[in-house]
Amino acid sequence: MPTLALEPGVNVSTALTLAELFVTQNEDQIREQLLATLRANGFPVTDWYAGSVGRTIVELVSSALADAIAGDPAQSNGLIPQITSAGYVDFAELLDTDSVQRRWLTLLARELYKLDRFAATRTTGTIVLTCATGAGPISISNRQLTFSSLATGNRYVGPTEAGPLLLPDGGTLSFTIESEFPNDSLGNPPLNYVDASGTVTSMVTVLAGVTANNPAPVFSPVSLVGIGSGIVTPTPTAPGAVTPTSVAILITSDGQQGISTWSLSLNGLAYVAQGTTPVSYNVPATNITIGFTNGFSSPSFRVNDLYTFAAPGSFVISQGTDEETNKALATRCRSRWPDLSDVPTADVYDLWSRQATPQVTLVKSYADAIIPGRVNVIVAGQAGSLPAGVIATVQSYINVRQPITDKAVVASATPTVITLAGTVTVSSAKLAIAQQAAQINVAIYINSVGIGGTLRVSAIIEQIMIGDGTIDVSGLTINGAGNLTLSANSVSSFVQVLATSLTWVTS
Amino acid sequence: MSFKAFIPSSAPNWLQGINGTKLLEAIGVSFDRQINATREAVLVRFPNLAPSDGLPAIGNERRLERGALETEADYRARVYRAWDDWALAGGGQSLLRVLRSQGYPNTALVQQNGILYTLDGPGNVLLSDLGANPLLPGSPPWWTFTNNDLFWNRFAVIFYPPFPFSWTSIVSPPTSVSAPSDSEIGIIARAVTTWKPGKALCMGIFVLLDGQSIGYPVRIIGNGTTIVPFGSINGGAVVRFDC
Repeated sequence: MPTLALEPGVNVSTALTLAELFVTQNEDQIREQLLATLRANGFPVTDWYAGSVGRTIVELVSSALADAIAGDPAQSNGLIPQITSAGYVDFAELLDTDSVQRRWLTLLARELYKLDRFAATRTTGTIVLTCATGAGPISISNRQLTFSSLATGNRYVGPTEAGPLLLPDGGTLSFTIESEFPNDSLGNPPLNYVDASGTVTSMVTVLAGVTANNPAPVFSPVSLVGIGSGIVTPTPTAPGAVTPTSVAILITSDGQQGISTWSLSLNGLAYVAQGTTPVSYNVPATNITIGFTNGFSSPSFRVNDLYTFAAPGSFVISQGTDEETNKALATRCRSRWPDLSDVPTADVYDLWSRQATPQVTLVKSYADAIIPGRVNVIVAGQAGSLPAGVIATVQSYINVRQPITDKAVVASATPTVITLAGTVTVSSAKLAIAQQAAQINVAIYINSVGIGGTLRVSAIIEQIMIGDGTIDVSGLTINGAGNLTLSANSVSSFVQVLATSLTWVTS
Repeated sequence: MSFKAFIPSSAPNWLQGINGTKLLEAIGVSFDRQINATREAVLVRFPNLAPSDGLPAIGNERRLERGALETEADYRARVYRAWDDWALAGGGQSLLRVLRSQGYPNTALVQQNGILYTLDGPGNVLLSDLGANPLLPGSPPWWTFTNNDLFWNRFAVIFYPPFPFSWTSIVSPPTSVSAPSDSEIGIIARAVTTWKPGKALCMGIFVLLDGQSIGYPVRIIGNGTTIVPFGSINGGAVVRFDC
C-alpha cells in the first residue's frame, strides 16, 4: 500500500488499484454492498419485500450514491473513473467521451505543461489568374474571389494579400489563396484540403474573360541530407508531363561525378544500385532525368548523402492541418520533461520542431554519422512532406535555441505514396457508412506511422473492419505487396479515395 | 469524521437505538466507500501514492521507462525525482543514474574525446581523463572507435562485471530467450537514446564479458588486465549491442 509521510505523524496512503478505480459502480453494485453490510449487522435483508421501509431506504441510498458519486450509468465513465483519468495525460482523453466534451487534456496541457492545443489551420497556396485581351484590367480586392477544385470540390478564397491587386489586360496575376475552412479531415463531411496542382481551376466567383489555375513546379526543391556539395538536378526528359514519383538518391561511395557511386529508390521502394554517378540519368517510365554536377568541394558526393525530390512539386505554401490530436498533444506534454535540461536531447529537437509550427506532425531526429555535432531533424506534416517555407520556419526556430557546437539540419521527410488494393465485403445496406469509416480509420493509421516506420497489412485490415457493416477484407496489398517499411527518412503520403479504389462487394 | 460515525451521531434520538445506529452505520459505510474512492482517485496521480498499476502511466508521462531489473521502489523514486533528473539530461551522470536505477550499477561511459564517466557510491559522477593513444604518437587523448580522431561526439556505454545475476546468456543480437533478452536490451537502448544529447553519436552498448578493456590506451574498467584493440575482439570477449 503506497504511503507518504506528509509530516511527522501524518501519513497519506492509497489502497485501491487503478483498475479498481476505473470501474464504474452502478446502483445495483452499490445496493449489494450496502445489503451485505446490513446483513453483517444482523438485519434480515432477505425478508425485506419491495416497498418495505428497509428496502426503500436501501434503494434511496443506493440510487443517490450512484447518481452523485459513483457515476451516471448512461455515461461510459463514472465520476470516480473520470477523476482518476484526469490526473494522467495518458488517460485524460477518456474524459472526452462524456457528453460535455470537456477536452480535459487541453486543460491539463495548458495548466500543467503550458502548452496550448494547436488549432486547425488552413491550406495556403498560389493561384494564377489569366486575363483575356480586352477583358481587363481588373482590380481585385482582399478575399474577393472563391475558387474550387474540380477533382475534390475543395474551395479556396483569395487573395489573402491586403490588396487591391491589379490583373492587367491580357496578362496574368499570381496571389495567395487559402482554404475556405480550416482542415478537418476526420469531420463529417471531411474537409481535407490536399489538392494537386492544376486542379483548382474553377472560379466560383466569375470574372468575365478570366481563367484560374494553380500550377506547380514540375519538381519539388531537391533536399539534401548529408555533407557533400554535389548538385542533383531533375529535369523532364522530354516535353510533356512527368509521372508522379518520389525520388531518393543515396550516394554509396565518395567521389566526384563519374567516380562516386549511387543507388536509386522510387516511391519508397528498395534502393537499387546504379553504379557510378553519370552526368545525367533517365529514370525509366517517368520522363524524369537526373543530372549530377560537382560542387565546390572534392569529393563532391559523399557516402550516405541523401538527395530527395518529388514530381510534381506543389502549389501549396503551407498545408492545412487538423486540430492537434490528443496523441500529438500528449507527445508534446511528455517532451516538456527533457526540455527541462539545457542540453537538447532527441525529444527536445522533437518538441522544438512541433513548437515551431503546427504543420509539423511527425519528427525524427538523429545524430549524423558523418559530421560530428550535426543533428538531422526530419519532419513531416499531415499530408506527408512539408514545403520549403515550413522547413525554413522550423530551422529558424531551432537555430536560436541549439547550443554552440550543435548543428541541427532540418529537412522534410520524403513522401512515399501509399496505394492500397484489395476487396472489401460489406452489407449492402451499409456500404456508404463502411466506406466512410474505412477512409477515416485507414487515414488515421497511415498518418500515425512514423518517419521510417512500417505499414502493416494486418493493421490496415483491422482499421477497415472497424466500419459498421464490414464483413471481410481479402487480398489487401500496400503498393502492390505486403507490409511496407518506409526508407529511413520517408513518410507515408495517403490521398487515395478508398470508395473508388478498393473493390467493394456487397452481400 | 467518517460518515459511519457522523450519520448516527446526527440522527434524532429515536433513531439512535441499537438497530437504528446499525442501519445508519451501514449507510455511512456506503458513503465512506465512495468518498474514499473519490479521494484515492485524486491521490493516485502522485508518484509516491500511485498504486503499482498506476505508476507506469505517470512514468510514461514523464518519459521514464521502468528498467527490466528495476524494483518498483527504485522506479517510484525515479519518477518522483523527474524534475531533478531531467534538468541534467544529456549529461553523463544522468544517464548513468538511470542505468543504475534500472539495475545496472557497473556501467561506464567513454567518449571519443577522452573522458570516462562513472558513478561513485552515492551516485555522483566521476570524470577521468583518458590517456593518449600509444599507437598514435602525438594524438590527443581519445577512445578508439576508429582511426578518425576528429569525431569528438562519439561515445559508448560499457557494462563491466559483475553483471546482474539474470544475465546468463549474453548474446548479440539478443533474442526472446537470451539473457539479457531483446526486450531488456531494448529498454537499455531506449534509455541511452532518450538521455544522451541529440548530437551525441552512440557507438554501441558494450558488455565486457571477462573484464577486459577495449580501445587504447589502457583503461581498465573492470577487473581484467588484458588490453585488446577494439574490433579484433568483437564477438569474442566483448558483446556489442546497438544503441
